[in-house]
Amino acid sequence: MSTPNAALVSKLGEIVANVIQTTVEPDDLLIESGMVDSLTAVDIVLAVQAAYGCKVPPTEIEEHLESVNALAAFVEENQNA
Amino acid sequence: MYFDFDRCDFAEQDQANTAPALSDAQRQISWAGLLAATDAWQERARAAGVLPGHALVISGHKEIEFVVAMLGCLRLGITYVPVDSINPPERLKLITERVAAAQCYNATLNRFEAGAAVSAPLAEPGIAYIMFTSGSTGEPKGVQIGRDSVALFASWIRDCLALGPRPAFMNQMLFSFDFSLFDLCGALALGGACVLCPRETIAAPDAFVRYLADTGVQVWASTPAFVRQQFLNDDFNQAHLPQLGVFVFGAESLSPAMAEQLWARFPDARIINSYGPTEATCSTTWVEIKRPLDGARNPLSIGRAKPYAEVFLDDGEICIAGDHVMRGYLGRPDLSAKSLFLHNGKRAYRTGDIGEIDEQGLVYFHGRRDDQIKLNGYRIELGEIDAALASLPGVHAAATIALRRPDGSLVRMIGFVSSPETLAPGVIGPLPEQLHNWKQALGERLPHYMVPSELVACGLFPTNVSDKVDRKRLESQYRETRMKPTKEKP
Repeated sequence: MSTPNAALVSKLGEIVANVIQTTVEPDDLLIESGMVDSLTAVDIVLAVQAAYGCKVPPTEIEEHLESVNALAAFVEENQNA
Repeated sequence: MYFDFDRCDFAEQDQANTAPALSDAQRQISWAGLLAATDAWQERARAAGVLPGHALVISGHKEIEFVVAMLGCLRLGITYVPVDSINPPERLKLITERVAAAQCYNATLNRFEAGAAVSAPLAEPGIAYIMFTSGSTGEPKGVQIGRDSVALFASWIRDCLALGPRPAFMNQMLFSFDFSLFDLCGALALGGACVLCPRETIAAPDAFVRYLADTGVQVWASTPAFVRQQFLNDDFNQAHLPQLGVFVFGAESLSPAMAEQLWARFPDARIINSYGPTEATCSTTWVEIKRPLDGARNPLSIGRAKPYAEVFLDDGEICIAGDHVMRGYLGRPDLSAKSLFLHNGKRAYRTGDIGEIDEQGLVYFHGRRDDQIKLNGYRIELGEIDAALASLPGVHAAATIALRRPDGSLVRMIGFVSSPETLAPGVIGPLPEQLHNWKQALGERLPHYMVPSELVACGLFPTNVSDKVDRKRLESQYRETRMKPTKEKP
């Protein structure tokens, strides 16, 4: 996985922070730490879809919402697909 | 055939008895099959020594056997106590002791098991079930609901909702929560089918939609949050679920935006909103949400009182009167006396909910008077979590807050343990080493939905005038520390 674009990471960080009401670092573990649960994950996925037009498949949420960096890598790969 | 809740028995036993009555992940049984299974279960219950007037704890998760046992209890005059396996064994044991049940029935293993060390009949006669809800002092409260109250609830579904003949209901909410009775009572009272959806089925979105389509589910009842989760699945729509025509909501606020999103997926669906605490048999008010929603208030109204209920405000607090109000908290006359009273000769209950009633008699919910919250539909007393946290090693004082978004909706819970020796007042810091496995330790006492998302240490807690922890100030301290402005713009 190459290093994702810094502007994208920062924007996705804002999306996540708005949902969970806590600022997170790009490599903080979101799901494993308990900061993001199955319902706040839905809000993040829907917000990302609205902003970038790409949707994290329901079965791959744990993988792509592992951290803001992981989410950025997913969005980079899928936003123009 | 159908189940007559007024008589607590099957009725019209010679009619339509090959129609499906119950499905779970493994199998489907017909009405005749359900009657035979219930008869057989009652024989086994008698042989196991389960007595009328006593409590029987039923544990499990969405098995046909769980429903068979509940019906068997209703027919035998046994008070059932439903405990979903989401509850850790320690909580199951605590509940079994509290109801002094001589036996437990394990629906997952389909067997009777030993119950409380000391068993005794229940003091209150005619109780259909006891459900345990979160208690603010750390002890869950047992809500006792009469058999006549359940019959009233079933009559509302049968007489007021116009669901058509023999509808199929999705049943997804845990049997330890009374909203799950909507699907069960509806299906049984109308001679329809109840489609049990275990968590493994729900976890696979494609298979879940196929299961609902194959079983012909027509009526959906859940929290709004549960529907929102389904929005991730593109197949969750009218084309894939053409029979699904009615959505019934409860347990948390419903927004106009949510209703609009649902209609975008299911243009022809009816949407019904409902409200009511466990202490008043599932729901007390209801309303059908109609289009257009322009100018509708957010959240939407929770409706008007059902025919057998009365709803009124006392100093802004929603109060409920009627025969569907509970017969008190098990073994807690002190708590019962605080919230139960007589109103026009009927039992009445102070909900602790703040409300408003408009000129048309529509009730609106405006939050709580106390520290009870609803997180994803789960009713939680923050005080119960405080008490569980305070039992962890080395913890002297603990407090739990619910973090909210600017619009007031809840995001998650955060626990605080007091470390006045190492941290200054108002300062949030890392946890002491001995608490590294706090999540596991708490999970042995509490169901996972009551475990905070995060635990932090904090200097001396802020307190209010009555010397109680000021949760609001604790929340703003957390927010100041953790919600830094995201980035300076370049």
